[in-house]
Amino acid sequence: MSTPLISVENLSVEIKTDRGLLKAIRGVSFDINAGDSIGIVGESGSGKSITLKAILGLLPNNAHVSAGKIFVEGKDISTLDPKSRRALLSKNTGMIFQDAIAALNPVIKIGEQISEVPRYRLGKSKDESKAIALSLMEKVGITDSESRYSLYPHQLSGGLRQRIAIAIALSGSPKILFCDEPTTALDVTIQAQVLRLLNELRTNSGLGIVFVTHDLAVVNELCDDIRVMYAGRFVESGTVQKTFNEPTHPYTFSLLKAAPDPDQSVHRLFTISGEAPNLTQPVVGCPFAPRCFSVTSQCSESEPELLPIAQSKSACFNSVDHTKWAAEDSKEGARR
Amino acid sequence: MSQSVISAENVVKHFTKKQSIVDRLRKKEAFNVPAIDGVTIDLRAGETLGLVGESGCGKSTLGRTLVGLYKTTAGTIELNGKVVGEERTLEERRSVQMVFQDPFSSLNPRMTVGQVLREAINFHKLVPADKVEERCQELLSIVGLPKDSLNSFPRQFSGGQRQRIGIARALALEPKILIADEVVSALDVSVQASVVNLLMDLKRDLGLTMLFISHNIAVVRQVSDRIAVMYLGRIVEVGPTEQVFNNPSHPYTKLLLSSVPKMTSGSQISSAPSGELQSIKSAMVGCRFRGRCPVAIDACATLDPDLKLVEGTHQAACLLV
Amino acid sequence: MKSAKTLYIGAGLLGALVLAAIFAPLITSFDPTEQDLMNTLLGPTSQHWLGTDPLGRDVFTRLIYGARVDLAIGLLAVVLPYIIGVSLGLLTGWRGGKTDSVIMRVVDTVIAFPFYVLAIALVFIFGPGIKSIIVAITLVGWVAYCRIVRANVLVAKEQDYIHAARLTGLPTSRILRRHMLPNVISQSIVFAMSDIVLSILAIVSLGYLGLGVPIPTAEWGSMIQEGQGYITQQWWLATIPGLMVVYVGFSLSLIGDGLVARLER
Repeated sequence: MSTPLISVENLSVEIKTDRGLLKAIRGVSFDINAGDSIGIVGESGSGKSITLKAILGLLPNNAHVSAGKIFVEGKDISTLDPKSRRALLSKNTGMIFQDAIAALNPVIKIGEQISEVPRYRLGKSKDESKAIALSLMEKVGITDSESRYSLYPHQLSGGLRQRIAIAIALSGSPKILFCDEPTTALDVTIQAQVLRLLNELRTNSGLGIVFVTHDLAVVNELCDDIRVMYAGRFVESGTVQKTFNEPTHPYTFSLLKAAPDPDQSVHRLFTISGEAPNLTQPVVGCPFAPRCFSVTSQCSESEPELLPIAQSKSACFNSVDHTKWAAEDSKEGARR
Repeated sequence: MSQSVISAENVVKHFTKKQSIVDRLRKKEAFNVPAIDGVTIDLRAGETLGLVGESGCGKSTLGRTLVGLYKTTAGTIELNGKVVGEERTLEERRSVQMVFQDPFSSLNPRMTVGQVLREAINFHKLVPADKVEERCQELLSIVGLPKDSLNSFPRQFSGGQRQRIGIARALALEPKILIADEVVSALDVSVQASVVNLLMDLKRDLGLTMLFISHNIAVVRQVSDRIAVMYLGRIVEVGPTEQVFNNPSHPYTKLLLSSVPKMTSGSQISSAPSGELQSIKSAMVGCRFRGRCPVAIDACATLDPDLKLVEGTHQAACLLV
Repeated sequence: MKSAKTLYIGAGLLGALVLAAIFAPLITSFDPTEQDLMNTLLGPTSQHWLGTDPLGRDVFTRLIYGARVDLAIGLLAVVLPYIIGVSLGLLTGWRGGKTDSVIMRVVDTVIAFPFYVLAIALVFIFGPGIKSIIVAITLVGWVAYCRIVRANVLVAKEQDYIHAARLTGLPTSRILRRHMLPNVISQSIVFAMSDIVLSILAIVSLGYLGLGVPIPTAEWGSMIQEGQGYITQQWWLATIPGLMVVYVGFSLSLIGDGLVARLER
């Protein structure tokens, strides 16, 4: 197995807040290869967005990496000086954010923003950069690229802005595109277009994608692999196929059941009682225990590690037992 | 056929862009944004009508116009068969209530839960003075909030709990109709489910009539008996939920339903035709959807279709129906 | 560093001065206007803690009694503009439309007016004294509150809890008073703190120009004016009253900061 392009080892991130030191990420490890399509799923407070920011060096001032290493092209980036680190990251990665309007400079024409990287980092001439920008605009499905080259971000709709953001991210020919909830703020029909674009880029150009979202259905449509995040750690890791059909962790199970299915209506939605834990306090035992239907006494004593189980990985003491969970499911039904 | 509790007949709501003095002196025509442009809809007693559509379709505006926050530019609204005037009576106001989207801005940060509830109850004298506290506790228990919530401020609650407070506030007025404007859109999935369940329980236990506005198709499907699809200020399809989902008849509804990402395995990112939501200005002649419609014919450029019968009570506004 | 502590420190500092002003006769046995031409321009002594002024009056006594005048007028001069400005701000922010246009044009006109010119004109009409100052400050001072409150009202108006209050059927007066006001008022309170200082400065300045309170009354502005001729030798005569203004301004700004911290909690 060749060296993964990006390798995250035991990453931990702390954030200083008014209410104390927040342990936003508590030991996350995973590898990303070019051509991978990984979905990181979690609810608010799970740490999914911070994970991306930590990898790309975009942490806010009050946050810092407290443990762990990040390797890019096999090199430990903490050992590099800022310039080399930036060069290494920008050569291999691109990122798009939730709010495209915030990611675009409102006073620079969009075409110029796309040609920035070719012109100033890759050293191409003005004409070459413009040509690259135009072809990128076509690549992301923007018709009429010549005339739209000179538009400003506010003159475009949300969906188009997000496409421009993707074009900018692609302008450095990255191998991996990091996406932080890029479609959450978009209408569902526009979201479908953007997802289709990302899928095409994957199949046609071999672009790797790391997609952070709270929407399981989107992960199902776009990604091959999934990481489920809860309270700053991965609690389940596996292929989308396996995880959606046979989730191994109770949280994943609950989340899949709680998400309403557009294809059928049920009498009552499955709920997860309680709230996510406050990560300014130390975590004792499994953080999901208070809300878990599969809880045993062991769960409050120590925190389970992410270990391989039945072709996936799960951080849970209580082994896969789909018959038990099917029984739980019909108990819920009887309560309706 | 059960009686219509609230209905809108050809309701139009324009927002007029403020004109500067110079424009007015030049007698320039005022720029109107027709947020809803001729909507006829009714809600029957005890039913939940789901209202879906994307940004700019006018669903929130319709909800707010029905509840009385906006005055209609044209058209009429009837409550229990009686036409509602420019200014609503206190009774009329009380009978239609709304729960809002944003758990943060929908509660007065400087009032406790108890103060909000008591104010509503006392103003309408819904309950004798010595029973007010009891009623407040009853409301708390109906929405599933802890007993000691009355003296707490909104900031001490989570997003899901705040939405419950908002529901309690609306229920305190004992309305006949509840309009839920994107009430779960700002909540996490696990919290969404419990609030949706609550609304379904209320519908069953209190016989509430509900208008459920949301852009989340999956949630709407769970909650609604009937569903109406809006596009650029018009209703393009309406009918019983299962019929509309199983047999979408308007091209926009088909587009919408096929764009929703699925939970079942197998990626099916649809062949969604390209095209952005048009600006309202440009879509004023003929069918509003024709710019994005995969099956548009020549007639669509000149004729603006009304709702036509598909089957039973299922209607769609398309020339090809 | 904003915390409730600054509120207490500021309140303590100001409170000490207020108490001193109220209990002035207990603190000092001198009369502020009593002249003693045998003992003029003395430096600090055990009898006269801060010395005496050109007419032999005890400086410390005049300072404390002066606090009565300046603090009282400073406060009074803010109360009326505050009430008028906040009320108009609420009204015009809520109503919008023509009401708003008219009131905002009035605001623009008043702001353009130079304050001291107006004050001097009023002094000519009413004669020098407290009345003119208060009228002048009121005529000009309400606009700031009006703008501040209006801006906050424009924002609050669109909040869903205001919509909810309307849906409850509450009359507008109740919505404005009970729902809107508590949420739009905090900025104006903080501004009022600095406005008190500005009013005191105005009084002091007018006093310095000889247009303030009548001559024998102890007041910081006239003290500065009387002391300026002696700046090279008895420099404290003009400086210390100025320092008192700084003291008041400082304590008020601490109170203001502390209030912000508490109100935004």
